[in-house]
Amino acid sequence: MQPYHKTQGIVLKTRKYSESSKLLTIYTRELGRINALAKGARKIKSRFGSSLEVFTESKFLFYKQPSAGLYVVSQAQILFPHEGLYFANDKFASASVMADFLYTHTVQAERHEELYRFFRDSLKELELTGAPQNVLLSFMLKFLTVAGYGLQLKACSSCGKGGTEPGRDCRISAKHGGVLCEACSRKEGDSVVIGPAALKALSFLQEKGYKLTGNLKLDDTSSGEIKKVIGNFLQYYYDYELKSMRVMEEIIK
Amino acid sequence: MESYNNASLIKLINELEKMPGIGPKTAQRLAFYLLKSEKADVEKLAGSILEAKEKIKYCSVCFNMTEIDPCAICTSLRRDRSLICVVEEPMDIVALDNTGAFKGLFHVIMGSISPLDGIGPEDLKIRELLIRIGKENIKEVIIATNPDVAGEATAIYLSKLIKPLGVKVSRLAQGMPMGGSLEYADEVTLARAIEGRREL
Repeated sequence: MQPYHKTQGIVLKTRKYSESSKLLTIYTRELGRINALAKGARKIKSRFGSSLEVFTESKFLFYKQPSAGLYVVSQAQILFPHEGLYFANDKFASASVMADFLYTHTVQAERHEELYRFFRDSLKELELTGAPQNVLLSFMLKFLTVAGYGLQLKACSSCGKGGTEPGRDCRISAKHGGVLCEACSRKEGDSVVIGPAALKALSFLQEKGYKLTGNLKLDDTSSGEIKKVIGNFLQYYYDYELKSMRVMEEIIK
Repeated sequence: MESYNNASLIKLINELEKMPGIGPKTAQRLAFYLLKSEKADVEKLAGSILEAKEKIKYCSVCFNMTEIDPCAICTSLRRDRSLICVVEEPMDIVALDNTGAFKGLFHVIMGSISPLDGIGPEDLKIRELLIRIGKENIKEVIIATNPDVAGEATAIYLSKLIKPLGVKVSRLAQGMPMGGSLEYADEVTLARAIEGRREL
Protein backbone atom coordinates (compact mmCIF):
# COMPACT_ATOMS: atom_id res chain seq x y z
CA MET A 1 0.00 0.00 0.00
CA GLN A 2 1.21 3.50 -0.83
CA PRO A 3 2.13 5.74 2.12
CA TYR A 4 -0.34 8.64 2.34
CA HIS A 5 0.46 12.14 3.56
CA LYS A 6 -2.15 14.59 4.83
CA THR A 7 -1.08 18.21 5.03
CA GLN A 8 -2.13 21.78 4.40
CA GLY A 9 -0.38 23.59 1.59
CA ILE A 10 -0.39 26.66 -0.64
CA VAL A 11 0.05 26.26 -4.39
CA LEU A 12 3.04 28.28 -5.63
CA LYS A 13 3.14 27.32 -9.29
CA THR A 14 1.27 25.15 -11.79
CA ARG A 15 2.39 23.80 -15.15
CA LYS A 16 0.56 21.83 -17.81
CA TYR A 17 1.49 18.16 -17.81
CA SER A 18 0.52 15.60 -20.45
CA GLU A 19 -2.98 15.72 -21.97
CA SER A 20 -5.02 16.91 -19.01
CA SER A 21 -2.87 16.90 -15.86
CA LYS A 22 -1.08 19.57 -13.86
CA LEU A 23 2.33 19.52 -12.26
CA LEU A 24 2.19 21.62 -9.10
CA THR A 25 4.72 23.16 -6.77
CA ILE A 26 3.16 23.37 -3.31
CA TYR A 27 4.55 24.85 -0.12
CA THR A 28 3.22 22.52 2.57
CA ARG A 29 3.17 22.80 6.34
CA GLU A 30 4.47 19.28 6.96
CA LEU A 31 6.70 18.55 3.96
CA GLY A 32 8.03 21.96 2.92
CA ARG A 33 8.22 22.72 -0.81
CA ILE A 34 7.25 19.72 -2.93
CA ASN A 35 6.30 18.92 -6.51
CA ALA A 36 3.08 17.02 -7.01
CA LEU A 37 1.14 15.65 -9.95
CA ALA A 38 -2.62 16.18 -10.17
CA LYS A 39 -3.99 13.78 -12.74
CA GLY A 40 -6.84 15.12 -14.90
CA ALA A 41 -6.79 18.49 -13.10
CA ARG A 42 -7.11 20.49 -16.33
CA LYS A 43 -10.40 18.87 -17.32
CA ILE A 44 -13.42 21.16 -16.89
CA LYS A 45 -15.17 18.50 -14.80
CA SER A 46 -12.10 17.68 -12.70
CA ARG A 47 -12.90 16.71 -9.09
CA PHE A 48 -10.17 19.13 -7.95
CA GLY A 49 -12.14 22.17 -9.16
CA SER A 50 -10.29 25.34 -8.19
CA SER A 51 -8.52 23.79 -5.18
CA LEU A 52 -5.22 23.63 -7.10
CA GLU A 53 -5.13 27.24 -8.25
CA VAL A 54 -2.08 29.37 -7.46
CA PHE A 55 -2.24 31.09 -3.99
CA THR A 56 -5.05 28.75 -2.84
CA GLU A 57 -4.54 27.14 0.56
CA SER A 58 -5.98 23.64 0.62
CA LYS A 59 -5.96 20.50 2.71
CA PHE A 60 -4.20 17.84 0.61
CA LEU A 61 -4.03 14.09 0.59
CA PHE A 62 -0.96 12.87 -1.32
CA TYR A 63 0.71 9.57 -1.98
CA LYS A 64 4.24 9.19 -3.21
CA GLN A 65 5.11 7.36 -6.39
CA PRO A 66 8.35 5.64 -5.38
CA SER A 67 9.51 5.12 -8.98
CA ALA A 68 9.19 8.78 -9.99
CA GLY A 69 9.96 10.33 -6.58
CA LEU A 70 6.90 12.49 -7.13
CA TYR A 71 3.84 13.09 -4.97
CA VAL A 72 0.45 12.49 -6.54
CA VAL A 73 -2.54 14.53 -5.31
CA SER A 74 -5.36 12.22 -4.31
CA GLN A 75 -7.74 14.77 -2.73
CA ALA A 76 -7.76 18.52 -2.14
CA GLN A 77 -10.19 20.62 -0.14
CA ILE A 78 -10.07 24.43 -0.17
CA LEU A 79 -9.31 26.22 3.12
CA PHE A 80 -8.70 29.78 1.82
CA PRO A 81 -9.04 30.52 -1.91
CA HIS A 82 -7.52 34.05 -1.60
CA GLU A 83 -9.79 35.12 -4.46
CA GLY A 84 -9.17 38.80 -3.68
CA LEU A 85 -5.69 38.40 -5.15
CA TYR A 86 -6.98 37.58 -8.65
CA PHE A 87 -9.06 40.67 -9.21
CA ALA A 88 -6.58 43.46 -8.48
CA ASN A 89 -3.51 43.43 -10.71
CA ASP A 90 -1.19 45.02 -8.12
CA LYS A 91 -2.19 42.39 -5.52
CA PHE A 92 -1.83 39.58 -8.06
CA ALA A 93 1.65 40.82 -9.04
CA SER A 94 2.74 41.19 -5.38
CA ALA A 95 1.40 37.72 -4.47
CA SER A 96 3.28 36.29 -7.46
CA VAL A 97 6.53 37.82 -6.19
CA MET A 98 5.85 36.32 -2.73
CA ALA A 99 5.24 32.90 -4.28
CA ASP A 100 8.39 33.28 -6.38
CA PHE A 101 10.38 33.96 -3.19
CA LEU A 102 9.31 30.63 -1.73
CA TYR A 103 9.68 28.83 -5.06
CA THR A 104 13.20 30.13 -5.64
CA HIS A 105 14.69 30.69 -2.21
CA THR A 106 13.62 27.57 -0.30
CA VAL A 107 15.10 24.09 -0.32
CA GLN A 108 12.90 21.28 -1.62
CA ALA A 109 11.31 18.98 0.98
CA GLU A 110 12.62 21.01 3.95
CA ARG A 111 9.93 21.49 6.56
CA HIS A 112 9.67 25.05 7.91
CA GLU A 113 6.39 25.64 9.73
CA GLU A 114 7.24 29.22 10.69
CA LEU A 115 7.82 30.10 7.05
CA TYR A 116 4.56 28.41 6.07
CA ARG A 117 2.55 30.42 8.63
CA PHE A 118 4.35 33.61 7.64
CA PHE A 119 3.56 33.06 3.93
CA ARG A 120 -0.09 32.23 4.68
CA ASP A 121 -0.49 35.35 6.86
CA SER A 122 1.22 37.50 4.21
CA LEU A 123 -1.22 36.36 1.51
CA LYS A 124 -4.18 37.02 3.84
CA GLU A 125 -2.88 40.50 4.63
CA LEU A 126 -2.20 41.25 0.97
CA GLU A 127 -5.78 40.30 0.14
CA LEU A 128 -7.15 42.80 2.69
CA THR A 129 -4.70 45.67 2.40
CA GLY A 130 -5.09 48.95 0.54
CA ALA A 131 -1.28 49.25 0.19
CA PRO A 132 -0.03 46.04 -1.49
CA GLN A 133 3.41 47.51 -2.23
CA ASN A 134 4.04 48.15 1.50
CA VAL A 135 2.97 44.61 2.37
CA LEU A 136 5.29 43.23 -0.31
CA LEU A 137 8.29 45.27 0.88
CA SER A 138 7.56 44.22 4.45
CA PHE A 139 7.26 40.57 3.31
CA MET A 140 10.64 40.69 1.57
CA LEU A 141 12.37 42.18 4.63
CA LYS A 142 10.71 39.70 6.99
CA PHE A 143 11.56 36.82 4.63
CA LEU A 144 15.22 37.83 4.78
CA THR A 145 14.96 37.85 8.60
CA VAL A 146 13.36 34.37 8.70
CA ALA A 147 16.11 33.15 6.33
CA GLY A 148 18.77 34.53 8.68
CA TYR A 149 19.72 37.60 6.61
CA GLY A 150 17.75 40.23 8.56
CA LEU A 151 19.06 43.78 8.13
CA GLN A 152 21.09 45.21 11.03
CA LEU A 153 19.82 48.80 11.18
CA LYS A 154 20.88 50.09 14.61
CA ALA A 155 24.64 49.68 15.19
CA CYS A 156 27.22 49.55 12.39
CA SER A 157 27.12 46.07 10.82
CA SER A 158 30.87 46.15 10.16
CA CYS A 159 32.52 47.41 13.37
CA GLY A 160 29.50 47.03 15.68
CA LYS A 161 30.26 50.35 17.36
CA GLY A 162 29.04 53.47 15.61
CA GLY A 163 25.52 53.96 14.31
CA THR A 164 23.90 56.23 11.77
CA GLU A 165 23.67 59.98 12.32
CA PRO A 166 20.07 61.23 12.61
CA GLY A 167 18.85 63.27 9.65
CA ARG A 168 21.72 62.25 7.33
CA ASP A 169 22.09 59.81 4.45
CA CYS A 170 23.68 56.47 5.31
CA ARG A 171 25.08 53.44 3.53
CA ILE A 172 23.74 49.89 3.75
CA SER A 173 26.01 47.01 2.85
CA ALA A 174 24.73 43.55 1.90
CA LYS A 175 28.15 42.05 2.56
CA HIS A 176 28.09 43.20 6.21
CA GLY A 177 24.32 42.78 6.58
CA GLY A 178 23.18 46.31 7.43
CA VAL A 179 24.03 49.96 8.01
CA LEU A 180 27.61 51.22 8.07
CA CYS A 181 28.95 53.98 10.31
CA GLU A 182 30.74 56.90 8.64
CA ALA A 183 34.21 55.47 9.25
CA CYS A 184 33.35 52.05 7.81
CA SER A 185 31.47 53.65 4.86
CA ARG A 186 34.73 55.16 3.66
CA LYS A 187 36.36 51.71 3.53
CA GLU A 188 33.39 49.85 2.00
CA GLY A 189 32.64 50.73 -1.61
CA ASP A 190 29.92 48.19 -2.46
CA SER A 191 26.91 49.60 -0.60
CA VAL A 192 23.62 51.45 -1.21
CA VAL A 193 23.03 55.05 -0.09
CA ILE A 194 19.63 55.78 1.44
CA GLY A 195 18.06 58.88 2.95
CA PRO A 196 16.87 59.24 6.58
CA ALA A 197 13.19 58.80 5.61
CA ALA A 198 13.92 55.53 3.80
CA LEU A 199 16.00 54.24 6.73
CA LYS A 200 13.15 54.96 9.16
CA ALA A 201 10.64 53.26 6.84
CA LEU A 202 12.98 50.29 6.34
CA SER A 203 13.18 49.72 10.07
CA PHE A 204 9.40 50.11 10.42
CA LEU A 205 8.64 47.67 7.59
CA GLN A 206 11.08 45.10 8.97
CA GLU A 207 9.96 45.21 12.58
CA LYS A 208 6.26 46.10 12.68
CA GLY A 209 3.33 43.85 11.89
CA TYR A 210 1.43 44.03 8.61
CA LYS A 211 -1.50 45.89 10.20
CA LEU A 212 0.75 48.88 10.89
CA THR A 213 2.87 48.73 7.73
CA GLY A 214 -0.29 49.04 5.62
CA ASN A 215 -0.77 52.57 6.99
CA LEU A 216 2.77 53.74 6.19
CA LYS A 217 2.95 56.56 3.63
CA LEU A 218 5.95 55.94 1.37
CA ASP A 219 7.08 58.45 -1.24
CA ASP A 220 8.57 57.26 -4.54
CA THR A 221 12.16 58.15 -3.53
CA SER A 222 12.06 56.17 -0.27
CA SER A 223 10.26 53.28 -1.94
CA GLY A 224 12.91 53.20 -4.70
CA GLU A 225 15.74 53.28 -2.15
CA ILE A 226 14.22 50.45 -0.11
CA LYS A 227 13.75 48.34 -3.25
CA LYS A 228 17.39 48.97 -4.15
CA VAL A 229 18.55 47.82 -0.69
CA ILE A 230 16.43 44.65 -0.88
CA GLY A 231 17.58 43.97 -4.45
CA ASN A 232 21.19 44.35 -3.32
CA PHE A 233 20.69 41.84 -0.47
CA LEU A 234 18.94 39.32 -2.71
CA GLN A 235 21.67 39.60 -5.33
CA TYR A 236 24.40 39.16 -2.72
CA TYR A 237 22.90 36.25 -0.77
CA TYR A 238 20.96 34.39 -3.47
CA ASP A 239 22.67 35.61 -6.66
CA TYR A 240 19.44 35.24 -8.61
CA GLU A 241 17.12 37.85 -10.04
CA LEU A 242 13.42 37.01 -9.68
CA LYS A 243 11.60 37.10 -13.03
CA SER A 244 8.37 37.98 -11.26
CA MET A 245 9.77 41.31 -10.03
CA ARG A 246 10.36 42.52 -13.60
CA VAL A 247 6.84 41.46 -14.61
CA MET A 248 5.39 43.18 -11.53
CA GLU A 249 6.95 46.50 -12.62
CA GLU A 250 5.34 46.01 -16.07
CA ILE A 251 1.91 45.26 -14.60
CA ILE A 252 1.70 48.11 -12.12
CA LYS A 253 3.33 50.88 -14.18
CA MET B 1 21.37 1.48 -24.81
CA GLU B 2 23.43 -1.53 -25.88
CA SER B 3 20.25 -3.18 -27.10
CA TYR B 4 19.94 -0.42 -29.73
CA ASN B 5 23.21 -0.36 -31.55
CA ASN B 6 21.60 1.62 -34.36
CA ALA B 7 22.38 5.31 -34.15
CA SER B 8 19.41 6.19 -36.37
CA LEU B 9 16.93 4.48 -34.03
CA ILE B 10 18.37 6.23 -30.97
CA LYS B 11 18.16 9.54 -32.85
CA LEU B 12 14.48 8.91 -33.72
CA ILE B 13 13.62 8.05 -30.10
CA ASN B 14 15.43 11.16 -28.85
CA GLU B 15 13.58 13.38 -31.32
CA LEU B 16 10.16 11.91 -30.44
CA GLU B 17 10.90 12.33 -26.74
CA LYS B 18 11.23 16.10 -27.23
CA MET B 19 7.46 16.36 -27.94
CA PRO B 20 5.09 17.46 -25.15
CA GLY B 21 3.61 14.58 -23.16
CA ILE B 22 5.93 11.99 -24.72
CA GLY B 23 8.12 10.16 -22.23
CA PRO B 24 10.95 7.70 -22.98
CA LYS B 25 8.64 4.64 -23.08
CA THR B 26 6.10 6.25 -25.41
CA ALA B 27 8.90 7.55 -27.64
CA GLN B 28 10.27 4.01 -27.85
CA ARG B 29 6.82 2.57 -28.70
CA LEU B 30 6.22 5.21 -31.39
CA ALA B 31 9.67 4.64 -32.91
CA PHE B 32 9.06 0.88 -33.19
CA TYR B 33 5.57 1.50 -34.60
CA LEU B 34 7.07 3.74 -37.32
CA LEU B 35 9.74 1.16 -38.14
CA LYS B 36 7.11 -1.56 -38.51
CA SER B 37 4.89 0.63 -40.73
CA GLU B 38 4.95 0.63 -44.54
CA LYS B 39 7.54 2.97 -46.06
CA ALA B 40 4.79 4.84 -47.94
CA ASP B 41 2.90 5.58 -44.69
CA VAL B 42 6.03 6.87 -42.99
CA GLU B 43 6.78 9.10 -45.99
CA LYS B 44 3.21 10.40 -45.88
CA LEU B 45 3.60 11.27 -42.17
CA ALA B 46 6.99 12.93 -42.65
CA GLY B 47 5.64 14.81 -45.67
CA SER B 48 2.59 16.12 -43.80
CA ILE B 49 4.73 17.33 -40.91
CA LEU B 50 7.02 19.20 -43.30
CA GLU B 51 4.13 20.56 -45.37
CA ALA B 52 2.29 21.87 -42.31
CA LYS B 53 5.49 23.41 -40.96
CA GLU B 54 6.18 25.18 -44.25
CA LYS B 55 2.65 26.36 -45.07
CA ILE B 56 1.11 27.23 -41.71
CA LYS B 57 1.96 30.55 -40.12
CA TYR B 58 0.34 33.01 -37.74
CA CYS B 59 -2.37 35.30 -39.12
CA SER B 60 -0.96 38.85 -39.09
CA VAL B 61 -4.33 40.20 -37.83
CA CYS B 62 -5.57 37.77 -35.15
CA PHE B 63 -2.55 35.43 -34.63
CA ASN B 64 -4.58 32.31 -35.41
CA MET B 65 -2.72 29.56 -37.29
CA THR B 66 -3.44 29.73 -41.01
CA GLU B 67 -2.21 28.84 -44.50
CA ILE B 68 -3.54 32.09 -45.99
CA ASP B 69 -2.76 35.43 -44.37
CA PRO B 70 -5.09 37.01 -43.20
CA CYS B 71 -6.95 33.90 -42.07
CA ALA B 72 -10.39 32.77 -43.26
CA ILE B 73 -12.07 34.07 -40.07
CA CYS B 74 -10.57 37.56 -40.43
CA THR B 75 -11.63 37.87 -44.09
CA SER B 76 -15.09 36.27 -43.75
CA LEU B 77 -17.98 38.62 -44.60
CA ARG B 78 -20.49 36.44 -42.75
CA ARG B 79 -18.97 37.18 -39.35
CA ASP B 80 -19.98 39.96 -36.96
CA ARG B 81 -17.06 42.36 -37.32
CA SER B 82 -18.05 44.45 -34.30
CA LEU B 83 -17.30 41.60 -31.90
CA ILE B 84 -13.86 40.25 -30.90
CA CYS B 85 -13.30 37.24 -28.67
CA VAL B 86 -9.88 37.26 -26.97
CA VAL B 87 -8.33 33.83 -26.35
CA GLU B 88 -4.98 32.61 -25.01
CA GLU B 89 -4.01 30.06 -27.69
CA PRO B 90 -4.96 29.25 -31.32
CA MET B 91 -6.39 25.92 -30.09
CA ASP B 92 -9.00 27.86 -28.08
CA ILE B 93 -10.38 29.27 -31.35
CA VAL B 94 -11.11 25.72 -32.56
CA ALA B 95 -12.98 24.91 -29.34
CA LEU B 96 -15.07 28.11 -29.43
CA ASP B 97 -15.73 28.02 -33.19
CA ASN B 98 -16.91 24.40 -32.97
CA THR B 99 -19.74 25.50 -30.66
CA GLY B 100 -21.31 27.48 -33.52
CA ALA B 101 -22.56 29.92 -30.85
CA PHE B 102 -20.04 32.65 -31.63
CA LYS B 103 -20.03 34.43 -35.00
CA GLY B 104 -17.60 37.28 -34.32
CA LEU B 105 -13.84 37.64 -34.81
CA PHE B 106 -11.00 36.31 -32.66
CA HIS B 107 -7.73 37.60 -31.30
CA VAL B 108 -5.06 35.29 -29.85
CA ILE B 109 -2.84 36.96 -27.24
CA MET B 110 -0.45 33.96 -27.12
CA GLY B 111 -0.62 33.12 -23.43
CA SER B 112 -1.54 34.80 -20.16
CA ILE B 113 0.24 37.03 -17.66
CA SER B 114 2.34 34.77 -15.47
CA PRO B 115 4.93 36.58 -13.33
CA LEU B 116 6.39 33.31 -12.04
CA ASP B 117 7.27 32.28 -15.58
CA GLY B 118 8.52 35.77 -16.41
CA ILE B 119 5.62 36.40 -18.84
CA GLY B 120 4.38 39.97 -18.62
CA PRO B 121 1.95 42.06 -20.70
CA GLU B 122 4.72 43.05 -23.11
CA ASP B 123 5.34 39.40 -24.03
CA LEU B 124 1.72 38.99 -25.18
CA LYS B 125 -0.10 40.28 -28.28
CA ILE B 126 -1.93 42.95 -26.25
CA ARG B 127 -0.54 45.98 -28.07
CA GLU B 128 -1.75 44.46 -31.38
CA LEU B 129 -5.23 43.96 -29.87
CA LEU B 130 -5.45 47.60 -28.77
CA ILE B 131 -4.34 48.81 -32.23
CA ARG B 132 -7.02 46.55 -33.79
CA ILE B 133 -9.73 47.92 -31.50
CA GLY B 134 -8.65 51.47 -32.38
CA LYS B 135 -8.68 50.83 -36.14
CA GLU B 136 -11.73 48.58 -36.58
CA ASN B 137 -15.28 49.41 -35.56
CA ILE B 138 -15.34 47.11 -32.52
CA LYS B 139 -18.32 47.43 -30.13
CA GLU B 140 -17.66 44.54 -27.75
CA VAL B 141 -14.65 42.51 -26.62
CA ILE B 142 -15.36 39.12 -25.02
CA ILE B 143 -12.46 37.96 -22.87
CA ALA B 144 -12.21 34.17 -23.04
CA THR B 145 -8.94 33.58 -21.22
CA ASN B 146 -8.82 30.40 -19.11
CA PRO B 147 -10.78 30.42 -15.83
CA ASP B 148 -7.62 30.15 -13.71
CA VAL B 149 -5.64 32.73 -11.70
CA ALA B 150 -3.43 33.81 -14.62
CA GLY B 151 -6.44 33.96 -16.96
CA GLU B 152 -8.43 36.08 -14.47
CA ALA B 153 -5.52 38.46 -13.89
CA THR B 154 -5.05 38.83 -17.66
CA ALA B 155 -8.79 39.51 -18.09
CA ILE B 156 -8.70 42.25 -15.44
CA TYR B 157 -5.58 43.77 -17.00
CA LEU B 158 -7.19 43.78 -20.48
CA SER B 159 -10.46 45.26 -19.24
CA LYS B 160 -8.56 48.17 -17.64
CA LEU B 161 -6.94 48.95 -20.99
CA ILE B 162 -9.99 48.42 -23.21
CA LYS B 163 -12.79 50.09 -21.20
CA PRO B 164 -11.32 53.64 -21.57
CA LEU B 165 -11.57 53.16 -25.36
CA GLY B 166 -15.37 53.18 -25.01
CA VAL B 167 -15.77 49.51 -25.92
CA LYS B 168 -17.97 47.08 -23.97
CA VAL B 169 -15.90 44.36 -22.24
CA SER B 170 -17.44 41.04 -21.18
CA ARG B 171 -16.08 37.80 -19.74
CA LEU B 172 -17.19 34.23 -20.42
CA ALA B 173 -19.66 32.99 -17.79
CA GLN B 174 -18.29 30.81 -14.99
CA GLY B 175 -19.92 28.18 -12.82
CA MET B 176 -21.15 24.60 -13.04
CA PRO B 177 -20.14 22.54 -16.08
CA MET B 178 -22.88 20.63 -17.97
CA GLY B 179 -23.14 17.06 -16.68
CA GLY B 180 -21.38 17.97 -13.43
CA SER B 181 -22.61 17.12 -9.95
CA LEU B 182 -23.20 19.79 -7.27
CA GLU B 183 -21.83 17.65 -4.43
CA TYR B 184 -18.40 17.50 -6.11
CA ALA B 185 -18.18 21.23 -6.91
CA ASP B 186 -15.76 23.31 -4.84
CA GLU B 187 -16.72 26.47 -2.96
CA VAL B 188 -15.21 28.91 -5.47
CA THR B 189 -16.96 27.35 -8.48
CA LEU B 190 -20.29 27.23 -6.62
CA ALA B 191 -19.93 30.85 -5.49
CA ARG B 192 -19.27 31.90 -9.11
CA ALA B 193 -22.27 29.89 -10.28
CA ILE B 194 -24.52 31.66 -7.73
CA GLU B 195 -23.11 35.09 -8.69
CA GLY B 196 -23.63 34.37 -12.39
CA ARG B 197 -27.15 32.87 -12.04
CA ARG B 198 -29.77 33.86 -14.63
CA GLU B 199 -33.51 34.26 -14.55
CA LEU B 200 -35.59 31.52 -16.17
